[in-house]
Amino acid sequence: MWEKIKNLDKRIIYLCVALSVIIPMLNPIGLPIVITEETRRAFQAVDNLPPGSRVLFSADYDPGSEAELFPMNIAILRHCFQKKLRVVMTGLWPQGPAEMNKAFGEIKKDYPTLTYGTDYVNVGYKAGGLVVVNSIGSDFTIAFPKDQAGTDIRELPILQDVKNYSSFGLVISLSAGSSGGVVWVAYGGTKYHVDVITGCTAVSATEFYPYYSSGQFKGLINGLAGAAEYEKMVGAPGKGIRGMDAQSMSHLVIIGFIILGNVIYLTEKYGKK
Amino acid sequence: MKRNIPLLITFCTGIFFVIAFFAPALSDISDAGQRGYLVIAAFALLVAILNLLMVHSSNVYRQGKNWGLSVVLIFFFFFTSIVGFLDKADMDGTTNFSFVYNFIYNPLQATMFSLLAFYVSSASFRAFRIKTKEATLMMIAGFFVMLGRVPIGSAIWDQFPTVQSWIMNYFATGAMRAITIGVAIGAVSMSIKIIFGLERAYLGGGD
Repeated sequence: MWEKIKNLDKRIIYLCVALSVIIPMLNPIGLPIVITEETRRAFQAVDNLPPGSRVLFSADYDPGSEAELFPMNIAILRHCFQKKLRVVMTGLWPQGPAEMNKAFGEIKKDYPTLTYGTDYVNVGYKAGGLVVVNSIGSDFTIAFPKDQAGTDIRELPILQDVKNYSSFGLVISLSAGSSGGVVWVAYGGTKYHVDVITGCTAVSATEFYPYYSSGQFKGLINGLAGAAEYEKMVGAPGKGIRGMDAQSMSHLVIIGFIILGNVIYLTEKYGKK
Repeated sequence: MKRNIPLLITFCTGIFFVIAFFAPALSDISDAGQRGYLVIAAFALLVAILNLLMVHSSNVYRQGKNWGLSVVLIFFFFFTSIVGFLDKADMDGTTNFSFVYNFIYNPLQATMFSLLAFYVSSASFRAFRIKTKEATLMMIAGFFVMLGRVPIGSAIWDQFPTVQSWIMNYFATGAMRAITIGVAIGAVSMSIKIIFGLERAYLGGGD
């Protein structure tokens, strides 16, 4: 029997994983979400800003990481508009600004009074990574003289008096790798003293924890679980909370396979002795 | 001369930007340098595009391995570029470019990444064996972190999130901090060697 299980057809494993994701999506269990300190601090960093503050919101990811980062993109954007903050959107990844447009598209019906150029703007992508981040510290217009549609940023009320990081209350980076949150905190945060929070994929969270525990990141939203926590605090359940049941089940399935694999291994090892 | 001039440029630029980082008085010149870098970065994208097109055009011409896929790549490269150039970027998602991004590019890339879940689960069954003490510790840590990160973990035992947080904030952070500091020291060391001309591999030529 062990031999059969050991040589289990990988399609059966794939099927188990697929079912562990699909079934909870179709029939949500509604497991309670526990708020972690990292996410609470990120939420408070946004929540403590006075209305009218400008935030620089950078989507440093692409569709490959959308499952985890897009729900938090929507939740944070919603939180910013609830708090009447002015949002300057950008991205250090070429797909970032398009992700921002997509996230805004998801919530725009809830905020019909918002005006482009006054309440929010998308200044698009600029190649250069850390040099883009560093140059904003000297003069925002070095990196972004125009918005994504080619309009001079001085013609947009939201950016008419923008200088450098001193013009922003907070930098938010949703980061799937390099360039991303680490660059924002190393140059924007450490050199120019602007507060930075980040949201990251769970697999890359280890890279961000040293900067969070040292206080350089004012908050850290970790993976889909972090997105679900943020959605709960904003009071707008979305894809993050819906995805947590599926993630719970898929983690259980993977743990189950790891245990099963090791039971076979140990049985074979000690059975031979 | 062919080597000395690049070495001199590297030395002067390197020393200048190290000083400029700490000297606000040099910020104007430093800003000009950053503008220059942004232009070079934009040209680097152009070089990457030309390289991509040359590699795949050559593959199609030679009818090499998977040349049909190269045709698809070249076609969609121009298709997406033309649609992007013709459309003005918008926040409403109503343009043709938004359609291409949201309904073609986006699902394709998301699908590619999602396949990882299947490979990881299959690999975890076949390869994650507790053959050593270190592997056993890693599996225990993984067990607590995986369950501590999801609601079902706290439903099973309410201390799973606490243990997960402890592992991430102390063990994982400590190890990552050591790696980061090590990499940073290595980067500083390599930068010094490049600035002073001791490391010349970037010039090419092999010496």
